[in-house]
Amino acid sequence: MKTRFDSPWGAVVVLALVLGGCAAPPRPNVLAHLAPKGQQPVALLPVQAADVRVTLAEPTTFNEITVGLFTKSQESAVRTATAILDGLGKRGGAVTGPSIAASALGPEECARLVVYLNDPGPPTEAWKQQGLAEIAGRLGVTALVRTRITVRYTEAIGVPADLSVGPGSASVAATITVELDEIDARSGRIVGHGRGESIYRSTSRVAGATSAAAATVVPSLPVGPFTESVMLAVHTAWRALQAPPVAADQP
Amino acid sequence: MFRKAALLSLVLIFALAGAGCPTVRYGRVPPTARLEADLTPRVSTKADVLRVLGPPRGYGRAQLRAAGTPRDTWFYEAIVAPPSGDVRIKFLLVYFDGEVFDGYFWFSSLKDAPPILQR
Repeated sequence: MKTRFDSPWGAVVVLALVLGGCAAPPRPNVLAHLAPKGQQPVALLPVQAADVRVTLAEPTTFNEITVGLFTKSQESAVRTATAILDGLGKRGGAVTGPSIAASALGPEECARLVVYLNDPGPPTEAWKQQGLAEIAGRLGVTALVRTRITVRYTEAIGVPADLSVGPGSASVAATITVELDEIDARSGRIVGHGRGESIYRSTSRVAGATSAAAATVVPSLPVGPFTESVMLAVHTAWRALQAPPVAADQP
Repeated sequence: MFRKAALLSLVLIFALAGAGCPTVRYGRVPPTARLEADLTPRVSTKADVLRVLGPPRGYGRAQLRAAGTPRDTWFYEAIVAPPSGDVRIKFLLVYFDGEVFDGYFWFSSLKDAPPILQR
């Protein structure tokens, strides 16, 4: 007598059930409400260290802030912003995320990109327009979005060099500003702008973050108060970039 | 025997101390020899400078004369800081008039610098 599992189809069914049970549950797409501006293909340019500026509100009063704190802030801001913006690109459609853009361009092109974006001359200079147009062409888009992050420390008390602080021994506060500039790849001009700001405050590495930021799911990203603040600012800036421009004659 | 062991220990201690304080280097030595070989003032452009010298480490604007207009400026630097404290530096400023290469200024105290600049 032939049993049910003697048939190869039975094994296939069992295998399918097992694999289905092992698959991860669908992750809620918390970024679904952020639609790309229009339907034109846009690339979110790689977020690089040169895009992050770390400053002090009052340099003379913060003599315990170390280079380590600045470097850590810069690295963390780059990593977090990249992860958030990659989430936008992974939804498919018209948005290319910064990690994909970085892979497509390569390190030399990314280094040149920093020059195009930071040169103090006007965006209408021919060499800059040509360089940005080439980058856009390589990425297959017509618009580029540049990210600028400013971390402005307003308070830093008792921060040791290695940042391994004990409870209640350190207090750090900063204002994190994220600005997104949408650049028309043909003209090099900025055609859209979004700005987001959040407050980072930490006492002994324990700090509250807003619920909006905490609701964000970013896989494989260690979330701390600093990263949550960066995430909130990036989200706010992206939403502002998507908002339709307000006409000048409107009240 | 004891003297040899002590001497060996001292040598090891100094070697490890030396290994723990490596020479700090940052920046990329600007290839100033290529300034005159591959670039022509008032002819070359920012794109040419970027191709020849690579990306700068800093940007700004400088007005060299009261009567002139501010020039876009690119900044290149390299610093070598050994544990001995004999810090050496090379920097280069490249000036532009619009997007046209308009001049440069550099200084070096690196070991390969011209003798007049050696300490």
